Amino acid sequence: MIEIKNLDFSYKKTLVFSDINLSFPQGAIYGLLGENGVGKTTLLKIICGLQRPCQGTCTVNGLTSHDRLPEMLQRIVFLPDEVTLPDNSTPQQYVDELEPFYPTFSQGTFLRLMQELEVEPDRKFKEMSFGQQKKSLIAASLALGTDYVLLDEPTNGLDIPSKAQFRSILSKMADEGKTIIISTHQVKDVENLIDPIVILSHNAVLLDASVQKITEKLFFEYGGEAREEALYSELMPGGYMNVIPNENGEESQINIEALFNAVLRNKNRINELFA
Amino acid sequence: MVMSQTFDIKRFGKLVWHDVRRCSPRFSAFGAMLISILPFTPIMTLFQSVTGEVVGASYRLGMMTLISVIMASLTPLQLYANIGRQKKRGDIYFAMLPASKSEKYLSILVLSLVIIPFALMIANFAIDSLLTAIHMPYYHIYLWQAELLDLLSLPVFCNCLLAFVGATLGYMFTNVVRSKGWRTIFGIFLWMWMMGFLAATVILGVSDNTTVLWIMAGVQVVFAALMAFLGWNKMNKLGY
Repeated sequence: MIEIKNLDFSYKKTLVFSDINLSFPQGAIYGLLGENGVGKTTLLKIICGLQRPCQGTCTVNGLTSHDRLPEMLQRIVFLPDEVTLPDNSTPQQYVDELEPFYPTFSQGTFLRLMQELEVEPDRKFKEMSFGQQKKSLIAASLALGTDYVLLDEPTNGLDIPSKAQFRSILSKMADEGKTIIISTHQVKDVENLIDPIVILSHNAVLLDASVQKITEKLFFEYGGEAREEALYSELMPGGYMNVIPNENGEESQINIEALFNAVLRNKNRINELFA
Repeated sequence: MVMSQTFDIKRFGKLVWHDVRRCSPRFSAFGAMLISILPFTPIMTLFQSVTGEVVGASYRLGMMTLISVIMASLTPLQLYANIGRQKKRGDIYFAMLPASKSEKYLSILVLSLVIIPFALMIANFAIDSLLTAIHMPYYHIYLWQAELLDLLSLPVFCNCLLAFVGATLGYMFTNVVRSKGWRTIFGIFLWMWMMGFLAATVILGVSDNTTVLWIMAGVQVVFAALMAFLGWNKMNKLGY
Protein backbone atom coordinates (compact mmCIF):
# COMPACT_ATOMS: atom_id res chain seq x y z
CA MET A 1 0.00 0.00 0.00
CA ILE A 2 1.12 3.56 -0.74
CA GLU A 3 0.46 5.97 2.09
CA ILE A 4 0.89 9.72 2.10
CA LYS A 5 0.53 11.44 5.45
CA ASN A 6 0.46 15.17 6.25
CA LEU A 7 2.59 15.89 3.22
CA ASP A 8 3.85 19.37 2.37
CA PHE A 9 5.80 20.06 -0.77
CA SER A 10 7.00 23.20 -2.48
CA TYR A 11 9.36 24.19 -5.27
CA LYS A 12 11.35 27.00 -3.64
CA LYS A 13 8.63 29.57 -2.94
CA THR A 14 5.82 27.87 -4.86
CA LEU A 15 3.66 25.77 -2.57
CA VAL A 16 2.40 22.64 -4.34
CA PHE A 17 0.89 20.54 -1.53
CA SER A 18 -0.09 21.51 1.94
CA ASP A 19 -0.87 18.81 4.50
CA ILE A 20 -2.33 16.27 2.09
CA ASN A 21 -3.28 12.73 3.05
CA LEU A 22 -3.86 9.94 0.56
CA SER A 23 -3.68 6.18 0.50
CA PHE A 24 -3.56 3.80 -2.42
CA PRO A 25 -4.39 0.24 -1.35
CA GLN A 26 -3.35 -2.52 -3.76
CA GLY A 27 -5.35 -3.85 -6.67
CA ALA A 28 -7.00 -0.83 -8.28
CA ILE A 29 -6.50 1.67 -11.08
CA TYR A 30 -6.36 5.12 -9.57
CA GLY A 31 -7.04 8.17 -11.69
CA LEU A 32 -5.06 11.21 -10.66
CA LEU A 33 -6.78 14.17 -12.23
CA GLY A 34 -6.22 17.89 -12.03
CA GLU A 35 -5.63 21.02 -14.00
CA ASN A 36 -2.22 21.74 -15.51
CA GLY A 37 0.34 22.63 -12.88
CA VAL A 38 -1.48 21.36 -9.80
CA GLY A 39 1.22 18.81 -9.08
CA LYS A 40 0.06 15.49 -10.58
CA THR A 41 3.53 14.62 -11.87
CA THR A 42 5.11 15.94 -8.69
CA LEU A 43 2.93 13.62 -6.63
CA LEU A 44 4.02 10.64 -8.76
CA LYS A 45 7.66 11.69 -8.29
CA ILE A 46 7.16 11.95 -4.53
CA ILE A 47 5.63 8.46 -4.48
CA CYS A 48 8.61 6.95 -6.27
CA GLY A 49 11.07 8.98 -4.22
CA LEU A 50 12.36 11.31 -6.90
CA GLN A 51 11.21 14.31 -4.86
CA ARG A 52 11.61 14.71 -1.13
CA PRO A 53 8.61 16.04 0.79
CA CYS A 54 9.24 19.21 2.79
CA GLN A 55 7.20 17.70 5.60
CA GLY A 56 5.18 14.57 6.17
CA THR A 57 5.80 11.09 4.84
CA CYS A 58 5.23 8.96 1.80
CA THR A 59 5.67 5.21 2.18
CA VAL A 60 5.47 2.30 -0.23
CA ASN A 61 4.77 -1.00 1.54
CA GLY A 62 5.98 0.67 4.73
CA LEU A 63 9.29 1.85 3.19
CA THR A 64 9.91 5.59 3.05
CA SER A 65 9.93 6.37 -0.64
CA HIS A 66 12.64 9.02 -0.49
CA ASP A 67 15.07 6.51 1.01
CA ARG A 68 14.92 4.86 -2.42
CA LEU A 69 15.93 1.47 -1.15
CA PRO A 70 16.41 -1.15 -3.87
CA GLU A 71 13.65 -3.21 -2.25
CA MET A 72 11.21 -0.34 -2.77
CA LEU A 73 12.45 0.48 -6.29
CA GLN A 74 12.00 -3.16 -7.28
CA ARG A 75 8.29 -2.89 -6.54
CA ILE A 76 7.53 0.30 -8.39
CA VAL A 77 7.85 1.47 -11.97
CA PHE A 78 7.36 5.03 -13.14
CA LEU A 79 6.74 5.89 -16.76
CA PRO A 80 7.10 9.66 -17.26
CA ASP A 81 5.33 11.55 -20.00
CA GLU A 82 8.59 12.10 -21.88
CA VAL A 83 11.50 9.71 -21.85
CA THR A 84 14.87 9.99 -23.54
CA LEU A 85 15.34 6.70 -25.33
CA PRO A 86 18.55 5.18 -26.62
CA ASP A 87 18.02 5.71 -30.36
CA ASN A 88 19.96 2.70 -31.55
CA SER A 89 18.34 0.40 -29.06
CA THR A 90 15.23 -1.75 -29.52
CA PRO A 91 12.43 -2.42 -27.01
CA GLN A 92 13.78 -5.95 -26.58
CA GLN A 93 17.25 -4.61 -25.73
CA TYR A 94 15.64 -2.09 -23.40
CA VAL A 95 13.93 -4.80 -21.35
CA ASP A 96 17.01 -7.04 -21.54
CA GLU A 97 18.91 -4.28 -19.71
CA LEU A 98 16.24 -3.95 -17.05
CA GLU A 99 15.46 -7.63 -16.60
CA PRO A 100 18.34 -8.49 -14.18
CA PHE A 101 17.00 -5.96 -11.66
CA TYR A 102 13.40 -7.14 -11.64
CA PRO A 103 12.95 -10.76 -10.54
CA THR A 104 9.26 -10.43 -11.43
CA PHE A 105 9.95 -9.53 -15.08
CA SER A 106 8.21 -11.78 -17.60
CA GLN A 107 9.48 -12.02 -21.17
CA GLY A 108 6.26 -13.81 -22.13
CA THR A 109 4.15 -10.93 -20.82
CA PHE A 110 6.35 -8.42 -22.63
CA LEU A 111 5.99 -10.18 -25.97
CA ARG A 112 2.25 -10.67 -25.47
CA LEU A 113 1.76 -6.97 -24.65
CA MET A 114 3.90 -5.90 -27.61
CA GLN A 115 1.79 -8.10 -29.83
CA GLU A 116 -1.45 -6.72 -28.40
CA LEU A 117 -0.20 -3.17 -28.91
CA GLU A 118 1.05 -4.08 -32.39
CA VAL A 119 4.68 -3.02 -31.95
CA GLU A 120 7.70 -5.02 -33.09
CA PRO A 121 10.09 -5.71 -30.19
CA ASP A 122 13.15 -5.79 -32.45
CA ARG A 123 12.57 -2.54 -34.25
CA LYS A 124 14.83 0.37 -33.31
CA PHE A 125 13.29 3.17 -31.25
CA LYS A 126 14.54 5.75 -33.72
CA GLU A 127 12.51 4.10 -36.47
CA MET A 128 9.31 4.30 -34.43
CA SER A 129 6.68 7.01 -34.14
CA PHE A 130 6.18 8.68 -30.75
CA GLY A 131 3.04 6.58 -30.21
CA GLN A 132 4.89 3.32 -30.96
CA GLN A 133 7.69 4.31 -28.59
CA LYS A 134 5.12 5.04 -25.93
CA LYS A 135 3.41 1.69 -26.46
CA SER A 136 6.76 -0.10 -26.22
CA LEU A 137 7.49 1.62 -22.93
CA ILE A 138 4.04 0.81 -21.57
CA ALA A 139 4.57 -2.86 -22.47
CA ALA A 140 8.05 -2.84 -20.91
CA SER A 141 6.82 -1.14 -17.73
CA LEU A 142 3.95 -3.56 -17.26
CA ALA A 143 6.09 -6.61 -18.05
CA LEU A 144 8.45 -5.76 -15.19
CA GLY A 145 5.80 -7.22 -12.91
CA THR A 146 6.10 -4.60 -10.18
CA ASP A 147 3.32 -4.19 -7.62
CA TYR A 148 2.92 -0.50 -8.43
CA VAL A 149 2.81 1.10 -11.86
CA LEU A 150 2.83 4.90 -12.08
CA LEU A 151 1.89 6.27 -15.49
CA ASP A 152 2.15 9.95 -16.31
CA GLU A 153 -0.09 10.93 -19.24
CA PRO A 154 0.14 7.42 -20.72
CA THR A 155 -2.33 8.03 -23.54
CA ASN A 156 -0.45 11.02 -24.97
CA GLY A 157 0.50 10.13 -28.52
CA LEU A 158 -1.64 6.97 -28.72
CA ASP A 159 -4.08 6.62 -31.59
CA ILE A 160 -7.72 5.66 -30.97
CA PRO A 161 -7.34 1.85 -31.40
CA SER A 162 -4.25 1.93 -29.17
CA LYS A 163 -6.15 3.73 -26.43
CA ALA A 164 -8.74 0.95 -26.41
CA GLN A 165 -5.96 -1.70 -26.30
CA PHE A 166 -4.31 0.22 -23.49
CA ARG A 167 -7.52 0.25 -21.43
CA SER A 168 -8.04 -3.46 -21.99
CA ILE A 169 -4.48 -4.30 -20.94
CA LEU A 170 -4.68 -2.20 -17.79
CA SER A 171 -7.99 -3.74 -16.77
CA LYS A 172 -6.39 -7.20 -16.90
CA MET A 173 -3.41 -5.97 -14.87
CA ALA A 174 -5.65 -4.57 -12.15
CA ASP A 175 -7.46 -7.92 -11.99
CA GLU A 176 -4.06 -9.50 -11.26
CA GLY A 177 -3.76 -7.33 -8.14
CA LYS A 178 -1.47 -4.62 -9.48
CA THR A 179 -1.88 -1.04 -8.32
CA ILE A 180 -1.87 1.37 -11.20
CA ILE A 181 -1.88 5.14 -10.77
CA ILE A 182 -2.63 7.13 -13.90
CA SER A 183 -2.02 10.84 -13.95
CA THR A 184 -3.81 12.48 -16.84
CA HIS A 185 -5.77 15.45 -17.99
CA GLN A 186 -7.25 13.45 -20.87
CA VAL A 187 -10.04 12.08 -18.75
CA LYS A 188 -12.05 10.64 -21.64
CA ASP A 189 -9.22 8.21 -22.35
CA VAL A 190 -9.47 6.62 -18.94
CA GLU A 191 -13.22 6.78 -18.42
CA ASN A 192 -14.66 3.47 -17.22
CA LEU A 193 -11.15 2.41 -16.30
CA ILE A 194 -10.15 4.42 -13.25
CA ASP A 195 -11.66 3.72 -9.86
CA PRO A 196 -11.08 5.40 -7.38
CA ILE A 197 -10.72 8.94 -8.65
CA VAL A 198 -8.42 11.50 -7.05
CA ILE A 199 -8.79 15.13 -8.08
CA LEU A 200 -6.03 17.53 -7.13
CA SER A 201 -6.35 21.25 -6.86
CA HIS A 202 -3.79 23.90 -5.93
CA ASN A 203 -2.20 22.70 -2.68
CA ALA A 204 -4.90 20.18 -1.83
CA VAL A 205 -6.81 17.01 -2.65
CA LEU A 206 -10.31 18.02 -3.72
CA LEU A 207 -11.76 14.57 -4.11
CA ASP A 208 -10.60 11.06 -3.27
CA ALA A 209 -13.45 8.63 -3.72
CA SER A 210 -14.48 5.42 -5.44
CA VAL A 211 -16.83 5.56 -8.41
CA GLN A 212 -19.47 3.90 -6.24
CA LYS A 213 -19.21 6.60 -3.59
CA ILE A 214 -19.26 9.32 -6.23
CA THR A 215 -22.49 7.98 -7.74
CA GLU A 216 -23.97 7.66 -4.26
CA LYS A 217 -23.31 11.33 -3.62
CA LEU A 218 -23.79 12.77 -7.08
CA PHE A 219 -26.38 12.17 -9.75
CA PHE A 220 -25.46 12.54 -13.42
CA GLU A 221 -28.59 13.48 -15.33
CA TYR A 222 -28.51 13.28 -19.12
CA GLY A 223 -30.98 15.18 -21.36
CA GLY A 224 -33.53 17.78 -20.34
CA GLU A 225 -33.06 21.35 -19.14
CA ALA A 226 -30.27 22.99 -17.23
CA ARG A 227 -31.05 22.79 -13.52
CA GLU A 228 -30.53 25.63 -11.09
CA GLU A 229 -29.40 23.37 -8.28
CA ALA A 230 -26.88 21.64 -10.54
CA LEU A 231 -23.25 21.75 -9.49
CA TYR A 232 -22.41 21.71 -13.18
CA SER A 233 -24.46 21.81 -16.37
CA GLU A 234 -23.31 21.30 -19.91
CA LEU A 235 -25.21 21.42 -23.16
CA MET A 236 -24.84 18.16 -25.04
CA PRO A 237 -26.61 16.69 -28.07
CA GLY A 238 -30.09 15.78 -26.79
CA GLY A 239 -30.19 18.33 -23.98
CA TYR A 240 -28.28 19.34 -20.86
CA MET A 241 -26.23 17.11 -18.69
CA ASN A 242 -26.51 18.07 -15.02
CA VAL A 243 -24.41 17.01 -12.07
CA ILE A 244 -26.58 17.34 -8.99
CA PRO A 245 -26.37 16.12 -5.40
CA ASN A 246 -27.89 12.65 -5.27
CA GLU A 247 -30.60 13.10 -2.69
CA ASN A 248 -32.78 10.17 -3.77
CA GLY A 249 -30.04 7.54 -3.95
CA GLU A 250 -30.62 7.00 -7.66
CA GLU A 251 -27.99 5.26 -9.76
CA SER A 252 -26.42 7.02 -12.73
CA GLN A 253 -23.56 6.72 -15.18
CA ILE A 254 -20.58 8.84 -14.17
CA ASN A 255 -19.15 11.35 -16.61
CA ILE A 256 -15.61 12.15 -15.49
CA GLU A 257 -15.29 15.41 -17.40
CA ALA A 258 -18.49 16.71 -15.86
CA LEU A 259 -17.42 15.43 -12.45
CA PHE A 260 -14.07 17.19 -12.81
CA ASN A 261 -15.73 20.50 -13.69
CA ALA A 262 -18.33 20.12 -10.92
CA VAL A 263 -15.61 19.49 -8.34
CA LEU A 264 -13.45 22.41 -9.48
CA ARG A 265 -16.36 24.87 -9.40
CA ASN A 266 -17.86 23.76 -6.08
CA LYS A 267 -14.92 22.94 -3.84
CA ASN A 268 -16.65 23.67 -0.54
CA ARG A 269 -19.88 21.93 -1.49
CA ILE A 270 -18.00 18.84 -2.63
CA ASN A 271 -16.09 18.82 0.65
CA GLU A 272 -19.36 18.87 2.55
CA LEU A 273 -20.92 16.15 0.40
CA PHE A 274 -17.95 13.78 0.68
CA ALA A 275 -17.03 14.56 4.28
CA MET B 1 19.38 -14.57 1.64
CA VAL B 2 18.34 -10.97 2.27
CA MET B 3 20.20 -8.50 0.06
CA SER B 4 21.78 -5.49 1.68
CA GLN B 5 19.91 -2.31 0.86
CA THR B 6 23.10 -0.22 0.87
CA PHE B 7 25.57 -2.32 -1.06
CA ASP B 8 25.24 -5.75 -2.56
CA ILE B 9 28.12 -7.00 -4.68
CA LYS B 10 25.89 -9.11 -6.92
CA ARG B 11 23.55 -6.21 -7.62
CA PHE B 12 26.53 -3.90 -8.11
CA GLY B 13 27.98 -6.29 -10.68
CA LYS B 14 24.67 -6.27 -12.52
CA LEU B 15 24.66 -2.49 -12.47
CA VAL B 16 28.19 -2.15 -13.85
CA TRP B 17 27.36 -4.63 -16.61
CA HIS B 18 24.11 -2.75 -17.27
CA ASP B 19 26.03 0.55 -17.59
CA VAL B 20 28.62 -0.99 -19.89
CA ARG B 21 25.85 -2.41 -22.09
CA ARG B 22 23.94 0.82 -22.09
CA CYS B 23 26.95 2.88 -23.09
CA SER B 24 28.20 0.40 -25.67
CA PRO B 25 26.64 2.31 -28.60
CA ARG B 26 28.81 5.25 -27.48
CA PHE B 27 31.94 3.13 -27.78
CA SER B 28 31.59 3.37 -31.53
CA ALA B 29 31.69 7.18 -31.19
CA PHE B 30 34.83 6.85 -29.08
CA GLY B 31 36.29 4.51 -31.69
CA ALA B 32 35.58 7.07 -34.37
CA MET B 33 37.26 9.77 -32.25
CA LEU B 34 40.23 7.54 -31.67
CA ILE B 35 40.61 6.82 -35.38
CA SER B 36 40.22 10.50 -36.25
CA ILE B 37 43.06 11.31 -33.84
CA LEU B 38 45.26 8.59 -35.38
CA PRO B 39 46.83 10.68 -38.16
CA PHE B 40 47.98 13.27 -35.63
CA THR B 41 50.62 11.04 -34.11
CA PRO B 42 52.52 10.34 -37.35
CA ILE B 43 52.01 13.96 -38.45
CA MET B 44 53.36 15.31 -35.18
CA THR B 45 56.17 12.76 -35.26
CA LEU B 46 57.09 13.82 -38.79
CA PHE B 47 56.95 17.48 -37.75
CA GLN B 48 59.22 16.86 -34.80
CA SER B 49 61.67 14.85 -36.89
CA VAL B 50 61.87 17.75 -39.37
CA THR B 51 62.69 20.09 -36.52
CA GLY B 52 65.52 17.78 -35.65
CA GLU B 53 64.28 16.47 -32.32
CA VAL B 54 64.72 12.80 -31.52
CA VAL B 55 61.43 10.98 -31.77
CA GLY B 56 61.13 7.75 -29.91
CA ALA B 57 58.84 5.47 -27.97
CA SER B 58 58.65 7.96 -25.09
CA TYR B 59 57.06 10.55 -27.34
CA ARG B 60 54.49 8.01 -28.57
CA LEU B 61 53.71 6.91 -25.03
CA GLY B 62 53.34 10.52 -23.83
CA MET B 63 51.07 11.31 -26.74
CA MET B 64 49.02 8.18 -26.09
CA THR B 65 48.64 9.03 -22.39
CA LEU B 66 47.58 12.56 -23.20
CA ILE B 67 44.98 11.42 -25.76
CA SER B 68 43.65 8.77 -23.39
CA VAL B 69 43.40 11.21 -20.49
CA ILE B 70 41.56 13.83 -22.54
CA MET B 71 39.19 11.31 -24.09
CA ALA B 72 38.52 9.52 -20.83
CA SER B 73 37.83 12.84 -19.11
CA LEU B 74 35.04 13.39 -21.58
CA THR B 75 33.46 10.04 -20.73
CA PRO B 76 31.03 11.23 -18.05
CA LEU B 77 30.01 14.05 -20.35
CA GLN B 78 29.23 11.52 -23.07
CA LEU B 79 27.71 8.79 -20.94
CA TYR B 80 26.06 10.53 -18.04
CA ALA B 81 25.19 13.84 -19.65
CA ASN B 82 21.73 13.88 -18.08
CA ILE B 83 22.77 12.75 -14.66
CA GLY B 84 22.17 16.16 -13.12
CA ARG B 85 18.93 16.71 -14.93
CA GLN B 86 16.96 13.66 -13.87
CA LYS B 87 14.19 15.81 -12.50
CA LYS B 88 13.36 16.90 -16.01
CA ARG B 89 13.45 13.64 -17.94
CA GLY B 90 16.70 12.06 -19.03
CA ASP B 91 17.90 10.01 -16.13
CA ILE B 92 14.66 9.18 -14.38
CA TYR B 93 15.39 5.80 -15.93
CA PHE B 94 18.73 5.58 -14.12
CA ALA B 95 17.28 6.97 -10.90
CA MET B 96 14.52 4.37 -10.90
CA LEU B 97 16.83 1.37 -11.34
CA PRO B 98 16.51 -0.87 -8.28
CA ALA B 99 20.01 -0.30 -6.93
CA SER B 100 21.23 1.78 -4.02
CA LYS B 101 22.68 5.29 -4.32
CA SER B 102 26.14 4.03 -3.39
CA GLU B 103 25.97 1.30 -6.04
CA LYS B 104 24.94 3.83 -8.67
CA TYR B 105 27.68 6.26 -7.69
CA LEU B 106 30.35 3.57 -7.61
CA SER B 107 29.17 2.21 -10.93
CA ILE B 108 29.65 5.64 -12.51
CA LEU B 109 33.13 5.84 -10.96
CA VAL B 110 34.13 2.34 -12.07
CA LEU B 111 33.00 3.01 -15.61
CA SER B 112 34.44 6.52 -15.85
CA LEU B 113 37.69 6.00 -13.94
CA VAL B 114 38.55 2.37 -14.66
CA ILE B 115 36.75 0.64 -17.51
CA ILE B 116 36.74 3.45 -20.10
CA PRO B 117 40.33 4.66 -19.50
CA PHE B 118 41.58 1.08 -19.52
CA ALA B 119 39.71 0.35 -22.75
CA LEU B 120 41.11 3.54 -24.30
CA MET B 121 44.68 2.70 -23.29
CA ILE B 122 44.32 -0.79 -24.76
CA ALA B 123 42.86 0.68 -27.96
CA ASN B 124 45.73 3.15 -28.16
CA PHE B 125 48.27 0.38 -27.58
CA ALA B 126 46.61 -1.73 -30.26
CA ILE B 127 46.74 1.09 -32.79
CA ASP B 128 50.34 1.90 -31.92
CA SER B 129 51.29 -1.77 -32.28
CA LEU B 130 49.51 -1.98 -35.60
CA LEU B 131 51.43 1.02 -36.89
CA THR B 132 54.65 -0.57 -35.68
CA ALA B 133 53.75 -3.91 -37.30
CA ILE B 134 53.18 -2.30 -40.68
CA HIS B 135 56.49 -0.43 -40.32
CA MET B 136 55.08 3.09 -40.33
CA PRO B 137 57.90 5.66 -40.31
CA TYR B 138 59.12 6.48 -36.78
CA TYR B 139 57.40 3.39 -35.31
CA HIS B 140 60.56 1.35 -34.88
CA ILE B 141 59.86 -0.49 -31.68
CA TYR B 142 56.83 -2.00 -29.97
CA LEU B 143 56.02 -0.08 -26.80
CA TRP B 144 56.11 -3.15 -24.61
CA GLN B 145 59.69 -3.75 -25.77
CA ALA B 146 60.67 -0.39 -24.31
CA GLU B 147 60.97 0.16 -20.56
CA LEU B 148 57.69 2.00 -19.96
CA LEU B 149 58.52 3.65 -16.66
CA ASP B 150 61.82 4.90 -18.06
CA LEU B 151 59.96 6.41 -20.98
CA LEU B 152 57.51 8.45 -18.99
CA SER B 153 58.49 10.45 -15.93
CA LEU B 154 56.58 9.13 -12.92
CA PRO B 155 55.57 12.55 -11.50
CA VAL B 156 54.32 13.62 -14.94
CA PHE B 157 52.34 10.39 -15.25
CA CYS B 158 50.87 10.84 -11.73
CA ASN B 159 49.90 14.42 -12.54
CA CYS B 160 48.15 13.32 -15.72
CA LEU B 161 46.35 10.51 -13.91
CA LEU B 162 45.28 12.68 -10.99
CA ALA B 163 44.20 15.51 -13.27
CA PHE B 164 42.02 13.03 -15.07
CA VAL B 165 40.51 11.68 -11.84
CA GLY B 166 39.93 15.17 -10.43
CA ALA B 167 38.39 16.50 -13.64
CA THR B 168 36.10 13.48 -13.97
CA LEU B 169 34.90 13.73 -10.39
CA GLY B 170 34.66 17.50 -10.67
CA TYR B 171 32.59 17.17 -13.77
CA MET B 172 30.17 14.88 -11.98
CA PHE B 173 29.76 17.53 -9.32
CA THR B 174 29.52 20.54 -11.57
CA ASN B 175 27.40 18.81 -14.18
CA VAL B 176 24.51 18.98 -11.81
CA VAL B 177 24.97 22.72 -11.53
CA ARG B 178 25.49 23.55 -15.17
CA SER B 179 25.80 21.53 -18.30
CA LYS B 180 28.70 23.17 -20.13
CA GLY B 181 30.77 20.07 -19.76
CA TRP B 182 33.74 20.86 -21.94
CA ARG B 183 34.30 24.22 -20.34
CA THR B 184 33.95 22.67 -16.91
CA ILE B 185 36.48 19.93 -17.57
CA PHE B 186 39.13 22.24 -18.93
CA GLY B 187 38.36 24.75 -16.19
CA ILE B 188 38.94 22.10 -13.55
CA PHE B 189 42.21 20.98 -15.18
CA LEU B 190 43.40 24.55 -15.20
CA TRP B 191 42.38 25.25 -11.59
CA MET B 192 44.03 22.12 -10.28
CA TRP B 193 47.31 22.72 -12.02
CA MET B 194 47.33 26.40 -11.17
CA MET B 195 46.59 25.75 -7.50
CA GLY B 196 49.25 23.04 -7.33
CA PHE B 197 51.83 25.17 -9.11
CA LEU B 198 51.14 28.21 -6.91
CA ALA B 199 51.25 26.11 -3.74
CA ALA B 200 54.62 24.68 -4.77
CA THR B 201 56.36 27.77 -6.11
CA VAL B 202 54.84 30.76 -4.30
CA ILE B 203 53.77 29.32 -0.94
CA LEU B 204 56.47 26.68 -0.46
CA GLY B 205 59.12 28.36 -2.60
CA VAL B 206 60.25 25.15 -4.28
CA SER B 207 62.36 25.47 -7.43
CA ASP B 208 63.18 21.84 -8.24
CA ASN B 209 60.90 20.66 -11.09
CA THR B 210 60.35 17.13 -9.81
CA THR B 211 59.39 18.37 -6.34
CA VAL B 212 57.02 20.93 -7.87
CA LEU B 213 55.37 18.13 -9.86
CA TRP B 214 54.96 15.99 -6.74
CA ILE B 215 53.45 18.91 -4.80
CA MET B 216 51.07 19.54 -7.69
CA ALA B 217 50.11 15.86 -7.55
CA GLY B 218 49.44 16.19 -3.82
CA VAL B 219 47.17 19.20 -4.34
CA GLN B 220 45.32 17.22 -6.99
CA VAL B 221 44.75 14.32 -4.59
CA VAL B 222 43.05 16.73 -2.14
CA PHE B 223 41.08 18.28 -4.98
CA ALA B 224 39.95 14.89 -6.29
CA ALA B 225 38.87 13.76 -2.81
CA LEU B 226 36.86 16.96 -2.35
CA MET B 227 35.21 16.52 -5.75
CA ALA B 228 34.39 12.88 -4.95
CA PHE B 229 32.66 13.99 -1.75
CA LEU B 230 30.75 16.80 -3.46
CA GLY B 231 29.69 14.49 -6.29
CA TRP B 232 28.37 11.94 -3.82
CA ASN B 233 26.61 14.67 -1.87
CA LYS B 234 24.93 15.96 -5.03
CA MET B 235 23.81 12.47 -6.04
CA ASN B 236 22.16 12.16 -2.65
CA LYS B 237 20.45 15.52 -2.94
CA LEU B 238 19.09 14.68 -6.37
CA GLY B 239 17.49 11.56 -5.02
CA TYR B 240 19.28 8.80 -6.90
